Amino acid sequence: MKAEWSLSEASRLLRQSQHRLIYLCEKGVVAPDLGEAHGRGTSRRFSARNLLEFEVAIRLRELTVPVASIAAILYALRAFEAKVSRLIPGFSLPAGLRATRAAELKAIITDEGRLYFALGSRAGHMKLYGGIDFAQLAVSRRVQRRRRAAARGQPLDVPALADGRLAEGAKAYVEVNVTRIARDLDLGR
Amino acid sequence: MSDQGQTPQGQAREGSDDEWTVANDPAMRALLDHVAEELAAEFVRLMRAAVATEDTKEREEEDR
Repeated sequence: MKAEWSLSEASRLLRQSQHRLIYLCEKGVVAPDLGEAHGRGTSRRFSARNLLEFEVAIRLRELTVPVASIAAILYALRAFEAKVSRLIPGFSLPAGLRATRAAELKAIITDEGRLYFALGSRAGHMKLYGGIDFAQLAVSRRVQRRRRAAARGQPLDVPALADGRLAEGAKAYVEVNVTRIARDLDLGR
Repeated sequence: MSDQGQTPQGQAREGSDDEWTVANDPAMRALLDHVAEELAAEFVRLMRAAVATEDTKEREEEDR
């Protein structure tokens, strides 16, 4: 199986313009794993994980999710991959989600700007994680610095999930099925 | 939504969250790492449970 894609190959495979993929790289949403562009004569080279990240980012952009929020979701996916690979050596994305036994992983953003991840077996119950408030964090750097200074030494503020349900005030949400995107990704031969 | 040929309104909308990124927010990264840790533990648990279920089924079929 192919392990490295150029910008034009990625663009063809994902049926997206090169401009759109470059935009996601320049916004820091997708960081090319195998080569960053540093001026003339250098080019971006992408891994299979990068292709999954592009697909997830594009789906979320279609649902009008802000790029900074998408970057945070992809950061969590990378952290997830790193943590699973500590427990299951050799685990990587997207291959780990394409496995038949792999659980279904979804990213959910509510109308209140909260981020959740849902995880569960395909046939069974999905359990929710997170509830991180993007809206509250999307403030100026000055406010963030003040908050960080005030919170120094305090435990992490991960909102408690009431019985694994979305926050009470949520009336609508968008959802992206990361596992399905990974399974449907055409990585060529 | 296209990221190409944006209108000024579109650019303003893109720029509305430019102040904050995960790269410049260690507190946010810590939260996301925490959630990723929980997700990873559950993911591995589900994988192992699926393997155990398959093994049990295979044994039952062999016994028949």
